[in-house]
Amino acid sequence: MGQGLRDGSCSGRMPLLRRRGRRGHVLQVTKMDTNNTTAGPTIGPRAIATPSASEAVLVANTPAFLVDRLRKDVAVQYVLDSMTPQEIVHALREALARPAKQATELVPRYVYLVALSTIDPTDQGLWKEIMSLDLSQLEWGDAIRRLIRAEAVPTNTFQYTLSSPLRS
Amino acid sequence: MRVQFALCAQTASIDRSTNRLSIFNVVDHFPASALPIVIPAITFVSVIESDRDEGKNVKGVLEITASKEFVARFELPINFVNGRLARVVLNFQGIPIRQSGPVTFRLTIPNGATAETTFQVINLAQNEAIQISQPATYS
Repeated sequence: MGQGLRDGSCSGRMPLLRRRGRRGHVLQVTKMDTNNTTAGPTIGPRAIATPSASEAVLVANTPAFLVDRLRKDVAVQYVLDSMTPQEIVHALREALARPAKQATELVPRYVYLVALSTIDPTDQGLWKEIMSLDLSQLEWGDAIRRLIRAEAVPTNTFQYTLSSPLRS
Repeated sequence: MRVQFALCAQTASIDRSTNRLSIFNVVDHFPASALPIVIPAITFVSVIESDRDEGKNVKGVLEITASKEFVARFELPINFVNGRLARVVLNFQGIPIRQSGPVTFRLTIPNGATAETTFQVINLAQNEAIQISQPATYS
């Protein structure tokens, strides 16, 4: 049966010999357009309310546990890869503007909030915006915000190369 | 202002997702098979705690001395932003050492704290000579 499917016309695959015979034939006729992709900077809440993120929100017993779990979650990684910090704050603000009707609607809000934990500690403008967010509809929203603010310790890094006087 | 700690290590890194500091291979001594030498790479790490009332930015001065001999001096702008803690990480390449003895890194903040750490440069050739001149006795 498997062999029949591979050789059949409905399999979509062409035997190697026949492929070689049609050198001038182009399999992909339509030109690929990379500029017109549907994936933009904004991500829908459904896309990031993954089962693992939902589970983390469901089973978390402390804000610190939830932050730790969500940080490693693919949903937060996806948000960080696809959106700028400014866009994450904007998305969270928009999500918080609507009252949550179901518990699952809280998942994207927590995902956005935890994604903000990677923001540069020296970006004062952005931190002001984060501190101004009204997180009252998230039970652990304020606790998580305090947690990520406390962890945002600035690192002053310097590089020096000393010229060696030993050569003289 | 208070210094939480100051030390020298081979490398230090900051975790991108958690912003946590990791320090690798802390330098408590440096064995030198011959002198003078150049320490190829060393990282000075310090965490400074500020009082709330103090300024967001302070200017620190780091001095390196080797066996009381001046090696280098740098002025460092240290930014606390809005928090109470600031990390200072300095990566050095090529620190010249002429003789064995203590190497001291001293970060001084005017009207504030001083973060200081010292490690010994040990001349292995000299140590071997001492061991040969004083052979072990067996009963």
